[in-house]
Amino acid sequence: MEPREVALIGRLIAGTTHEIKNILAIIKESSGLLQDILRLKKGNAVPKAEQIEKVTTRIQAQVARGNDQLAALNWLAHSMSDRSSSVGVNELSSGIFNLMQRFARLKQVELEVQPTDADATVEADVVRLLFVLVTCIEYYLDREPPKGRVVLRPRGSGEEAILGIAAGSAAGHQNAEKPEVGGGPLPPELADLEPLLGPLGGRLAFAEKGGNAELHLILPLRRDESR
Amino acid sequence: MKNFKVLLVDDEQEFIETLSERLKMRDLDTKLALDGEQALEAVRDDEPDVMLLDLKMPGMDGMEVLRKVKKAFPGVQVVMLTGHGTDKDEEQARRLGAYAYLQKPVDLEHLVVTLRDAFKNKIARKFESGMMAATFAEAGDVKTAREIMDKEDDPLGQKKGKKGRKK
Repeated sequence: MEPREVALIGRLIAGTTHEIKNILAIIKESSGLLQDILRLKKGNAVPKAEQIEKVTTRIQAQVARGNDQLAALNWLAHSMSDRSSSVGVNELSSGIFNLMQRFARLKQVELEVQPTDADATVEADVVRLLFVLVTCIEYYLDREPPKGRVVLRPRGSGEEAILGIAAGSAAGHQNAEKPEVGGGPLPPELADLEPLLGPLGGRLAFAEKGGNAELHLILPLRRDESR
Repeated sequence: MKNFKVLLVDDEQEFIETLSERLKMRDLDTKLALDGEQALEAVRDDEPDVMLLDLKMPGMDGMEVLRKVKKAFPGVQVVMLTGHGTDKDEEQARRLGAYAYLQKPVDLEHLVVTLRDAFKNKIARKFESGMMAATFAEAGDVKTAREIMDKEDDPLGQKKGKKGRKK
């Protein structure tokens, strides 16, 4: 693995473990609050059902949130142990979405995934793909103002899989299945990634339609999926 | 030691709301802020005695809030509470004037003791300033005495009377 790929994995793990620590802190305080409600009640006062319900609902929501974070870590671990494998674009996007939640939150930008109904599978070094995609998404997160939006749109298109990334006003517009590629040159930060995609048969390009630009990571479909 | 004012600063809203409920049950007066800008505004509006401050937040991070608060409101005691921290972060926080540095998840009783100790520290420092000002005044240096007192609030009522009459 390249040093920058290792560094990225470290950052993703650190971000996810930090989220898990926050989740555990909320669960700890919530369960402590339940104890307080029971122990610190005045005289024979009966604790209010709504108060208990509110706290238990909070605990359940945080457990679900924690589960998502652990699923993301588990997916990352398996991706690293079985690097050259097939992965569906929906699965890849979902994994990245969960791992990057904290990154997006710290930038005060909403990160969203719009999965495709027709999933497409690519055969590639998943860690390398992860590195390229995360770098592209961070490029947009760094440039979006607070309360902005970055959208990840995976889909199949003919013989290829496309992972589209759009931000700002472009995030609200769904490009057609076959967008008009050729929306301008890549900035240096992203052009830097192209040599990594060559061995995977992939490429990066801007696609533009109606004034809205979307960055495309384009990969060949797994051989048995080619139409 | 009832009703000293605590400002809770953390972007995890459910965490500080729950913590606030528990602290109020223990007679602490709490207010909440969800980010650095809100925290600074809250301090300007109603200066707390103690601030419980998260390190990593969207926008202005905890270290920047700590720096700004200690510069403009040196009397506010800041307790850092983070799920992230490294030894380097703790060192930097203490250098910037943090009273304590705690890791999440934290034992509530330990947190309450730390908040109360921080408040006692605030009172002790103001008392020291008051004693120092009195020494200068006794020596006839009223200007210096006044400068010392102008730098700090005076919770012990030493400005109320010539002989430091309590309220």
